[in-house]
Amino acid sequence: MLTSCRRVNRRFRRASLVGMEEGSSRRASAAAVLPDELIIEILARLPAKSLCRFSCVSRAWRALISDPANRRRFAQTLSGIFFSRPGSKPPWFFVGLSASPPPGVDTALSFLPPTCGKMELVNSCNGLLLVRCTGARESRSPPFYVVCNPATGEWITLPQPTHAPGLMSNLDTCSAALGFDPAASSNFYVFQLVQEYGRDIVQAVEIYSSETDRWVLRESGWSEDKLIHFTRQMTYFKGFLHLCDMSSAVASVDTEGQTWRFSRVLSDTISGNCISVGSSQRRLLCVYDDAWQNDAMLIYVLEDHDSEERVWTFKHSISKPGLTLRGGWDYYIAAFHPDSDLIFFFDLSQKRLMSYDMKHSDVHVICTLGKVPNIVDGMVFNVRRPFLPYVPLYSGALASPGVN
Amino acid sequence: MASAGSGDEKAAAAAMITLISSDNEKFEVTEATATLSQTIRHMIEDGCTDGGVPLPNVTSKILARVIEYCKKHATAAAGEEGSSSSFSDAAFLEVDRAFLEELEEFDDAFLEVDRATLFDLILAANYLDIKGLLNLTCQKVADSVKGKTPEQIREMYNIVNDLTPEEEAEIRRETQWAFE
Repeated sequence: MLTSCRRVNRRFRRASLVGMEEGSSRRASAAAVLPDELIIEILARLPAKSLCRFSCVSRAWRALISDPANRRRFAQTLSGIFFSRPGSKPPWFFVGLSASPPPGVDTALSFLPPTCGKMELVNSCNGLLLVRCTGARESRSPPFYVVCNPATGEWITLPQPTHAPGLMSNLDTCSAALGFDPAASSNFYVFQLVQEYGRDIVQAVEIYSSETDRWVLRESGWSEDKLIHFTRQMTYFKGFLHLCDMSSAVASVDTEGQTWRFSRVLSDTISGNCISVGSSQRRLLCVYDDAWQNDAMLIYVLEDHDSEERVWTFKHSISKPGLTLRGGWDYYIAAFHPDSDLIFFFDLSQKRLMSYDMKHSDVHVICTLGKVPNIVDGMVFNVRRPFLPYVPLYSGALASPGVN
Repeated sequence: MASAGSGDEKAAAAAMITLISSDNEKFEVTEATATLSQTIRHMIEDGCTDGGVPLPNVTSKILARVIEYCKKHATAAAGEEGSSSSFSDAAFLEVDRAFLEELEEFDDAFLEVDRATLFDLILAANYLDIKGLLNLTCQKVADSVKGKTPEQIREMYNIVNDLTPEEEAEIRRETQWAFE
């Protein structure tokens, strides 16, 4: 009781937020002022976009919003992009999207033990990273998966799926994705695609759930022709893994491997390719390249993900020459901004990472990744996703029986 | 404001607590209403509520509103405890839903206050440690500022911009997408 009274007295120390009706006189009452602690209560209820904007209200607000002590409570947004760089140590680097890197995030993953051996970044989802590790050289055991949170240094090693990760022999198991939505559940999922090597057809999907700490192997249940010509682009959104199919369609499977969906983005009469699928502002997006007709990227959006009828709506067309791209397939979609109409892409010929603002058709060069080993076909070694968007997750523990 | 709540529960009617505002007004409330405040709950547990609970940080105007909130939500809490026993038939759920809707309407109406009162309510909710009221009032402020520009925030809350133009330009450049 006494402590709470003392705490209350401490609360009137700063006049950062003064509440008054316009035109009324300044009240002498201490109640006209909110202390920092309560301003934080309010900021914690704001979306990331408002927080970013309010950083320039005043120095005090900027300090409150950027204070590492408060970040656990605040909404986070895209802070940068991991970029695979095979052969270097570590074999990736992190391109931050603001001058100040996300505080406390170990982008080198140096918290992972040496027993992980060589590592490859496979996928990212809402603050977690999926890493494929070769293990110690002498162990001769097959590669294994580690899921980690670079903002908290937590990590767990997953049990082995039926088909070992990173296979490139008769079977190809190099494509895998993370499914994690902290707003919905603390559990995460890993999807490992099982493909015939050298072909794009998905035969089966193995799905790990952190709730059961087990993998289940499910044969492909996509009904149209049972097989998906996977373009190596996929994303997790609202309980489903969504894959780009070459026939300009999106194939989806849920976390239990029970529900399999297939939806055409475009009619068959238009030639081209579904080149990327991602989510932004709580909607699923699909980028389609009609290189053969207008040399443009067409953005389609699935407005209502939950409805049975999956209707993709045309949203935007991006002219590739307008982006100073050489045209053709000379680019790579790197990320979709989760809270705005920004798309990040990589210009393969000039090695520039760029952002494109769909509202204003503005192009902005973020950086030139000059000394990067050539990833021209985007598939050097077994890197399937050279770019992984990263939104820090400061709160919550990795939910698993094997938590470290 | 000195009524005894629902009154049909003899036990509740017996345990009354007197709250004293900063301007020395006395409010008599049931223990069920008062203990929505963790601060007061601890005082009751410590047995130091005889002779009334002085609340030097809360005016009578604000305390009256806070008690209004607590009365409504104490009834709601009691209702929930009742329903969680064995009633699960549709009719009962219907009553439950109607009550929740009523509670939502009450909250909406409760928040129809000027900005200064809203801030006073936040301070009182924090001081008295009433989680539901703190959440409700802070969410109201958050919703009202969410779409505003930094200029509008400064104007609304009389905040002086002490960033240099260079610093402000730098922040705006980094977070340009947020200004759309």
